[in-house]
Amino acid sequence: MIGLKKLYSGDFNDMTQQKQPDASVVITLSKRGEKVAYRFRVKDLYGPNEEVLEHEVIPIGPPHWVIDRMEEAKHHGPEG
Amino acid sequence: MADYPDWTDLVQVVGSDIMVPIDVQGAYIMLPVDIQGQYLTLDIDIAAQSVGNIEVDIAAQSVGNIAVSIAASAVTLNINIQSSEIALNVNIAASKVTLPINIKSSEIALNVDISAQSIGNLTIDIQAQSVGVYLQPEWAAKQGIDKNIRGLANDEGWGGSLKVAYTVPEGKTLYITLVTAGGRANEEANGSKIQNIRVVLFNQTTETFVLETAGEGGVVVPLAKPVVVGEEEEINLFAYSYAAHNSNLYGTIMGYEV
Repeated sequence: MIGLKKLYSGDFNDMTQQKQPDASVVITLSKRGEKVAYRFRVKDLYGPNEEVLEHEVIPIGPPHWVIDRMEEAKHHGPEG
Repeated sequence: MADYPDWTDLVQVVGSDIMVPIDVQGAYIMLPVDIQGQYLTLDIDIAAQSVGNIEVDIAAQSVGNIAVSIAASAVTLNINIQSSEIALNVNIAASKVTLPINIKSSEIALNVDISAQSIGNLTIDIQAQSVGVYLQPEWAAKQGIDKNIRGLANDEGWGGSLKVAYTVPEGKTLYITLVTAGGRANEEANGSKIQNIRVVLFNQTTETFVLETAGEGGVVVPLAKPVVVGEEEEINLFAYSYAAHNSNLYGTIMGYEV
């Protein structure tokens, strides 16, 4: 699980831990400059029975229409 | 004049007072110089359109003065010192000292890393019209070593809590510079009611209460003296709700890890 490896190696800048009703925690890790974040649900975090229940890699960044507009602005300049 | 083992000429000079002007001109020259004496003054002046490599190896019990003046259109000056123990003293004592260090480049990385058990005085005086000096947390953010660790817990009743946990990796140290925590009623009807929050920062590994405070609505605790969390230590931020209604809790640990 890449997310868990990143957690234990400290290879992230931002982490969010969201407590779940079943006492598990959904963790989201991201690092500046990377285009993806890692979200995983883990029970018994840092405990002897720690287990990752779900794991996903999430693309991050501005929506494609914002990127398109940035590209357009770059090519045409502020004068349009 | 005598024969050297490879059939070149060997010049041996032995005497109490010697002056030897050397003018060597040739297509291919080998000039091994072996000087053994109780006292030596060796002045070398080089004036040339270009100089290839100058390698000087000095192994001596004591060396007097080494003066190096370099004036050239392009210079690469590598100083590599490798030793089990190094004393590199730069002592400048004069009625007037001019020591300009000018670095001009499109990109400069000037890293000074000091690792020591103790540092006496480290005095840096900068007087300038404009200087870019960053506090460590700002610099950490620029270097990408900052840590922002946030937690959320929803629908917590009286005494309910949020726990934010992080274990510092092996070989790293976490410096916490800011702690925040707070709570909000999760129903509009309770929005204006008192929202007491107790906040605890606890080092699980050393079993140390690092910080404990409380506030109505939440707290923001800037740490002028960062809280240090050592390698493989687990730090926990707890936020407890003491409101007479259910709340959504949040808490943040901010700092940098090196």
